[in-house]
Amino acid sequence: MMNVAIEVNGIKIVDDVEPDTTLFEFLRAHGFKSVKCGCETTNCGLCTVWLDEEPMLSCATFAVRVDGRRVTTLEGLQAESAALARCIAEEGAEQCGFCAPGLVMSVLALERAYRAAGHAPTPAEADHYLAGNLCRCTGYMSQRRAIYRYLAECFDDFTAPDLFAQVDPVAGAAAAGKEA
Amino acid sequence: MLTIGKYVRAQSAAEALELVRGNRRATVLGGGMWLRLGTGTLPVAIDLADCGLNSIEEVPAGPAGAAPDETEPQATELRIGAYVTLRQIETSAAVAAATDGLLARAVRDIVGVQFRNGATIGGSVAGRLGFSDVVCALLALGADVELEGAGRMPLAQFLAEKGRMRDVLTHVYVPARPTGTLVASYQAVRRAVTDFPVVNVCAVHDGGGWHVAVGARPAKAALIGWGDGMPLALSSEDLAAAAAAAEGLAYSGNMWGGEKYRRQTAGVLVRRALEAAMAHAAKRTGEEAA
Amino acid sequence: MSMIVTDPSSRADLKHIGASEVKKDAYALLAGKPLFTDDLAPADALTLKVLHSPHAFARIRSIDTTRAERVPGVVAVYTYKDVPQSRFTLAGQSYPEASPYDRLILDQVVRYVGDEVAIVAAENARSAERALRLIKVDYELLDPVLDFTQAKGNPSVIHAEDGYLVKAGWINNDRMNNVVASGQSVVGDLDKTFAEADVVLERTYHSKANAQAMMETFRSFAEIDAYGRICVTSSTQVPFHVRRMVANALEIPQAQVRVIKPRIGGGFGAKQSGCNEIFCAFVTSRTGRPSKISYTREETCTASNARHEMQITVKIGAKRDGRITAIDLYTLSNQGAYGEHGPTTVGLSGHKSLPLYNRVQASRFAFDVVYSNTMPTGAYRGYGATQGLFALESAVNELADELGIDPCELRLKNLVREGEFMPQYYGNTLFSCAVDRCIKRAQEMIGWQEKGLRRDMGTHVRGLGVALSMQGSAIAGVDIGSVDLRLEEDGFYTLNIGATDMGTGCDTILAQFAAEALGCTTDRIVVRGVDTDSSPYDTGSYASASTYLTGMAVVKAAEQLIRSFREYAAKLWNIDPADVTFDGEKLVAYAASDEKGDRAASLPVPQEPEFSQVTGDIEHMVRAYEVVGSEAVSGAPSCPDLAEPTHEMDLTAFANECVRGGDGDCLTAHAAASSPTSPPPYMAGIAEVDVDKETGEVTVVDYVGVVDCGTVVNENLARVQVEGGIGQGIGMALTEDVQYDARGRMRTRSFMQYKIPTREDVGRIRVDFCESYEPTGPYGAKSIGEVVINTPSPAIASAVAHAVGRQIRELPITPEKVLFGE
Repeated sequence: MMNVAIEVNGIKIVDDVEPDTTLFEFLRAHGFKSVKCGCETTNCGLCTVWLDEEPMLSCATFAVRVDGRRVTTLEGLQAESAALARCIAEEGAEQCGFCAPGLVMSVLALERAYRAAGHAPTPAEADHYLAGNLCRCTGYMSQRRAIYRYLAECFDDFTAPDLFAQVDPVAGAAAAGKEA
Repeated sequence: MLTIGKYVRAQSAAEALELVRGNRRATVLGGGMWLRLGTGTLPVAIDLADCGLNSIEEVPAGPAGAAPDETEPQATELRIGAYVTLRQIETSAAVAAATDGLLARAVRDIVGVQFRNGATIGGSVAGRLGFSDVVCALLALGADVELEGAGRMPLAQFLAEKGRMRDVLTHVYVPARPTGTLVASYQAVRRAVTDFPVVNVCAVHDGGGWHVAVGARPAKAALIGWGDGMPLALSSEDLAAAAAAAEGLAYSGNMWGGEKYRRQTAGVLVRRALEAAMAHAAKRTGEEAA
Repeated sequence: MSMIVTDPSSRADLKHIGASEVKKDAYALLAGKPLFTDDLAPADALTLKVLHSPHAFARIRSIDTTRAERVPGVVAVYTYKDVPQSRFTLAGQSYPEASPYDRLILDQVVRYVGDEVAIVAAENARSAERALRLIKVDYELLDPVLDFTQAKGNPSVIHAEDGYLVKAGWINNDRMNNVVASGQSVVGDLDKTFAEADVVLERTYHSKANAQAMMETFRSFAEIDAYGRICVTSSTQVPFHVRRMVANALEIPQAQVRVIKPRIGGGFGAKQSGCNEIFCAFVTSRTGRPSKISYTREETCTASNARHEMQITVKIGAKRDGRITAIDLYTLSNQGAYGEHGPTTVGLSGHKSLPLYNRVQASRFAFDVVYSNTMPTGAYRGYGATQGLFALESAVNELADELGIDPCELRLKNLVREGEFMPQYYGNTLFSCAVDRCIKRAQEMIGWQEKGLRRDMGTHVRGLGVALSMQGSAIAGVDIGSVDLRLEEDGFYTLNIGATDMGTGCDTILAQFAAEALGCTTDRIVVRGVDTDSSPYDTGSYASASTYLTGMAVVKAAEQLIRSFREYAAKLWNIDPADVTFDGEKLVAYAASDEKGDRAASLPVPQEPEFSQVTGDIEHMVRAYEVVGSEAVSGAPSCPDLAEPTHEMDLTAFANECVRGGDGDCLTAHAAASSPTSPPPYMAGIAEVDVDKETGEVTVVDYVGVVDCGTVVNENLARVQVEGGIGQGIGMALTEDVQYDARGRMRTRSFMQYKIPTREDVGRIRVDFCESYEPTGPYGAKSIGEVVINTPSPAIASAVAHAVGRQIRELPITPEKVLFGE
């Protein structure tokens, strides 16, 4: 057993862990149940937390390696995530909820990364940033609508595409939304 | 579930080497992305986080102590610490400039941002994994690796070694040629956007010749044995010869694809990589002229 | 138990039906609240791990757990010697289940790589894992049947055990020949009709055992409650069926079992079978301690249940002008090692595909469901219709290509229409159908005429492909949805349901029905999650039943409750209940007098018959719901010359009055619904694909889906259902590839190998609705949950065929198959 001190959501947690205790296990054992696990192969993104402000997979991070570092979970971002939560809920994109915490952590990280860069992401960049966050319920479209709406609220220069328009329309094509 | 017997934070690469050599089953931790998948026991796991291996620096290249030539700009190279993450590689302006964006392009479809924030270049290279996009790109770039113990060697030599690593990978070196002299392209086929590549290709022209690597064969990346000393501009015969050279490598089938498909697609991707790299050069020339 | 029949006038002026209400649990889930099974498990619960068989077919000669038991922290290790010997099924189906009772908690014979061999119960996961590795098993290897096309009549019999039970004789079980079920249904003269056809095509299609891949794996825990009963909390879609399974498996009465369903992280049918509930229930019953089990993703991929692999042969005959005259469809379904949902899924492969082309002169649907030594199969959205529609719609597309007729035009020429009697659809009559409008709207949205079936773009080529889908709404004559609706002190309502919300939002949808009927907002309706001790019986969330069936139960309960309000108010006011109106906010009466005398004490119940027997004629049953806003409830006062009401009480005061004390009651209504028909929803899907000519890579650049689900109850949630189903369908079509090795071990054991779509694998999905009106459904609604997954595989296969000239008949459509064929 080894002793670690990890700051979670601003509070220092000191505990003994095995060398192979993952940050995921550590967090849930200390009551941070928002962090979910959906796979064992680092593919799903559900366990995403921030390590010193960077989104990381808590399932693949050993607690001993983050001794002395800062971790943020969704429990620590209730106020910061409210606007995004509203966008998602109003779109109906919130289905089973199991992928939601990891997704929210990733979207907020995306926002911060592009704020630091000084410009909005493009829709394609936003999608790409979130490629590691799987969802089985929604087919991603409602998440896109919600996230684009959120990014438009955050960034003056974010342009959401018209997701209901035809892709590569051919001349003479019917306008989107026209009644049959 | 992976079990670790003892976790050690080495304070230097030399200490890590001692630990590795002292215990047959001691393992250096990379990002942990791959070890996560294991079910065995690691008696000793060595963390290099305190060894100063997480930065990218531009350093003079060539033998130490050589007198600088006043008429030529000092050749430099990028010295990338083993613990630099794939995400840092992806977003580094210095790496982008030195590689014509090749490394960023090669890593951008690997799982996701969170994954790349954990995965390290050292872990990617030391594993010598067949599907590795990083290895394919570094091979085409003519990268060197530095090992505590065995010293510095070309990546190709490191890849050819068999058996368990008895040394500690500390750095990767990428020649940092002045902007404009290197063009590169990465091509791959994947069955799903963030899946392992069915086959991957990197083509680099560094001013001296073409270097083309094909990986995920499923065996690890190998240079195609064509392109040494050839000029940037290629004819269609040249392209066909390159494709044929690519198809001449060894391929086999696995869950992601069959031998015939890999072989044929490698030829297609090599041709496309060469054409794309040439197009980069043309675009750059156009921009300079403008 | 039956359905109220209405006409489209019931859909006028709706306030809550159709609105995009936010899901009731949305904000709690988005805040990351601990609402899922593993979040709720007791801290001191034993952790269970299962030892899985490495062999596809073997008998355990000996099993030695002594070293495992000695691992510190291990409390017990169980083997086949420790469990009850009554066989049961894990299928979540109404009793008597159609699926054979062929399971034990632990069996001496293991029948697939992954089958359970032992259960370890320990204080923590670490100890349990160590113990697993120390269990010594000596197997006698048997001859596995790994190729399901070789299963029927194979000398290696997978289920030869005593104690095997078949509760449903109609399935034609022949287990000694490895047949779980078989059957056929014939309409018309097939030979004659084929002989007279101008064109006959015969093709065979193959779809695989796709994993549902919900984000939350299988999790459950068990405890002994204050009454000494086993209380199981499980991420399940079928709590009432799990109660039966646990009772059967443990050989105890159902009265000794309670099942609770919290929030579920997705199910899609996976959780319509039991999984590991029986393990923690068993361990808790033996140790007296709480125990929990969470399957890993690997166990979920390899040791649970998946979609039935099916090989379907379609023979289709037509006239040169495009009239389809005969269809012969044969399904061979791979059940895997245990029989859950085998006899029932297969039926949909024919009965929920053929009826699209109901006007053929002859049709036959025949099937065999066979055991094999591979992972058991179960329910996955679509439930057989998906596989059947992949085959039939592909065949229809190939026919169109062969005849040189536009595939949309061919369908419009042949599609079933409203009013038709459907012999291959359980003898139902089709009351509502807008699929023709769906096709036309989809064509318009994608740019069908302008783009054409094939567009050469140089190194790439684009293709368009269409497919239709149908499904059902609940299982006719079998499914039951019931609800309790109660007026609470302070004037709000509790809606107690047995239907299980697995993320779809049925809690919210049902609240919308209640709000519409009761004339209030949905925040006044508290919807209670499922606990078998207190929730009214509901077969569960499957077969697309929640909206159609449980929704109807909600409306019926609302009618009853409103009647009881008016009767209770009349009693308070000493007037005729017919004089009491209710507008959702208050009860108001315009009573001529309040003399005692011959006033009625109760209100007449509507006289029109309810729809309880399938007949073609339902006009005489039509009536309006007696709910808020209707003539009967909020209508004109009986004394028009009274300008002012004589009695008035707002709902809150009334509710408080009901329980104030003394001779009061908490007014409650209970209603159930069961339908003799299962009205099909329909969908048209069109895929636009981009194919790289040199590498064969296929990208779906645009996918259009237009759905007829009757009345759309919640537009946002309905749209998300369609998009989600299309997303899963794209995975089935292109990236999800179940692979086994030569010894029967599944190679695709994780999300690293089994690729479900990421958001970059999905191009653009665009959804629209063409509403029909289903007279037997609540406010005209049908279902939407499953119909949405069935179009992508055939539509994408056809789009690829148009693009590159190669029809791929085995899923998934990989770049390699596009270039080289299958």
